Amino acid sequence: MTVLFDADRDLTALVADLLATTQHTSEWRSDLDRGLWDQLAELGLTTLLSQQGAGWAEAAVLLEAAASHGRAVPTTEHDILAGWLLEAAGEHDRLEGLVVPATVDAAGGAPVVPWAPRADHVVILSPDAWVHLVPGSFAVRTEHTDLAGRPCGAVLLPAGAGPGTPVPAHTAQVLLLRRRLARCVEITGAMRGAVDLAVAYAGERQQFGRPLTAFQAVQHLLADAAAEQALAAAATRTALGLVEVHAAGPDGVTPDVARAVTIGCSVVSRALGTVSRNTHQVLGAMGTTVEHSLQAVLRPALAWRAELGDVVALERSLGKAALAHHGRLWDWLTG
Amino acid sequence: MKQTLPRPLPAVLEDDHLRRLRTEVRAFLVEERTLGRFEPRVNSWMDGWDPEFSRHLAEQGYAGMTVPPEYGGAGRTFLERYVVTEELLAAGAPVAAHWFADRQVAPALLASGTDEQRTQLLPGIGSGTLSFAIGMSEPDSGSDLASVRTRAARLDDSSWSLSGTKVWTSGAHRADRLLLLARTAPRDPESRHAGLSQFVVDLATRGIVVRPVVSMDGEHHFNEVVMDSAVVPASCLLGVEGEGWKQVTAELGFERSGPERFMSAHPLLEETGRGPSTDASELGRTLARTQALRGLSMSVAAAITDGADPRVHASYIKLLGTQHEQELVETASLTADHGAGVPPPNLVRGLLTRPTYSLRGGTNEVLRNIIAREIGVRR
Repeated sequence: MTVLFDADRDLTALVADLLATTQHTSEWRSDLDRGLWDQLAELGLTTLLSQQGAGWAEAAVLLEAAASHGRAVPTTEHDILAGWLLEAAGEHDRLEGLVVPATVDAAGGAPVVPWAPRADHVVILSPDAWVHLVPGSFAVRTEHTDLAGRPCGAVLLPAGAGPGTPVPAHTAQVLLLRRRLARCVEITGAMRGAVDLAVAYAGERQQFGRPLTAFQAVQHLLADAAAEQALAAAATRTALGLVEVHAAGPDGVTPDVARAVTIGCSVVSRALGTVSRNTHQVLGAMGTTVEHSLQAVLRPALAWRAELGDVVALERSLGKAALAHHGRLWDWLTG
Repeated sequence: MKQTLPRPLPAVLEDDHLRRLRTEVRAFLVEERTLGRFEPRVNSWMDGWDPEFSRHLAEQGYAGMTVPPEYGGAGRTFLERYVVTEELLAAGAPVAAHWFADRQVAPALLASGTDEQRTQLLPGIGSGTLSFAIGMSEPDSGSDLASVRTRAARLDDSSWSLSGTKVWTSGAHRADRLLLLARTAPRDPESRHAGLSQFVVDLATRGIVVRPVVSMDGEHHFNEVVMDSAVVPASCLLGVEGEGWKQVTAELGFERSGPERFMSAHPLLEETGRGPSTDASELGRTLARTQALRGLSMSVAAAITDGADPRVHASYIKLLGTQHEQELVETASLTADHGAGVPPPNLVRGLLTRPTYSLRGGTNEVLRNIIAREIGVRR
């Protein structure tokens, strides 16, 4: 019996309805829509993984949909990361309001934590694997806006924060993997939204007495973007499926799950290059303005891609692993 | 925002059964190589014609896999066939002799053939002993396949008289049969796809001449097939007269989505991918993309197993896959340093066959048109 991994259709429809009223604010900044967040929280959609007993397939539905609409819904931070970290520290009932995670360095600092300035609490993971839950107002030192217009904070573990709770040594590694996987889902969703916007625009915008879709060059830009998005979606779904089936054991991340997520990061990152280039090309000058919603979808995607880290280094690690394997590259790939 | 992109296909995760099958095939191929029965070859599904190997493969149950047992086949799923096929291609095994029969003629016979045709032809396909060439393109009809002019005229005794020229007919100089697309009714400008039919033609029929078309790598697999009032019995008509276009488009899903669309140059990657100047990040990026293409291709195989027709996903695979194959050859070419020596044959093969990758079975340009139509930007 072959395991197939697919998203739940009813949930997909529900989430699509909730996000259908896209209110593009024409603002450079992207702030938390508290009303939407509370509405989603009421339905349990902001805690699918951490509290509702749902799986990655369900969580991915919301992540992907929100990203495709350019809606700022920090469920990666709250549900997938903070919720999981609190669970690991035995404090899962502390997940209320908005909680975001921060992995600090030896000096106790994390310079760029998305949504920290809006968080009720920050759950901090220190290098020696201790978890602290700190009120947002105490943890956030300075605030700035990232390339996506999101409020980010420089977080510092307060001196009087207390000892915290110890967690397994591999926690940081697993947290990073969860972050990368969630971002792959979100970027894939953003790419879908970008192509949808470009397709709609190309059908409406007229030049030379006909819509842009009359020009094969434009059709082909969109076809290439659709194909890349599909490839990214396939890689992401494979990774999601593997994570679901082989949940991280007591020793942390299994090698094939880690590899699938790394592969997802590479394919998704490269696809974003093509999709953003092609959709911007179709949207013309309009698509470069704050007024148009394309940038509301793509700027977060660029910020999320930056969070993946040095993608070329990730690709290098794949190549090195393949080269270190005795036997064919193919055996390593299919193993 | 209106959602325009086709729904993604479910991801397929390999289970123990498929893994065991993969291990089996691999062991078989290692043995074949050890016995010196083949050398890994780029573009092996086009250039690697070895009837003995095909027959031997079928004996193991690795050819004609999807032919049902009642017709002498192994009755396996498309996913099982997928796993076996990609192992064969990764190894660069000589699969050309049974390739077209296995990949598209068997499904066509099962979908459209009469019981007599199935009984007559499927056992040979299942045993890897009956080879086929595909007669579709003509000198004036490449991408515009509906414009073919080969004519099949019905004679008084219900047999058919075939006249016309086919080109790019791989393997026609060695195959037993030709799956032929011909006009059985005059062309109607209002209905371009009507009046076409397919025939299963014995290539030994009088009035059929096969002329070689040598490729720039020096290989002969392409041919020109000239039919001059070649008479074939009524039983050669595949299914219902006039359904040719429908039959052909049904075959395209199988044709376009398989691993051969991104694995043609894989043997070259194995050969040169571990060189002294290997850039690990470049290799990692390439392998990641191969893996993603595999995932997409497997999803299509699973969807076809479920009776779906994932046309747009098949187009994605072919469009992205053949570019991937071409880039792989390019990287191998750019990083190769033979000094005063001879370049590896597979590198030369790669360079001289890669232009065909993005042309055969649907050009990139046509595929982009198909995708554009599916996403609503082309009528």
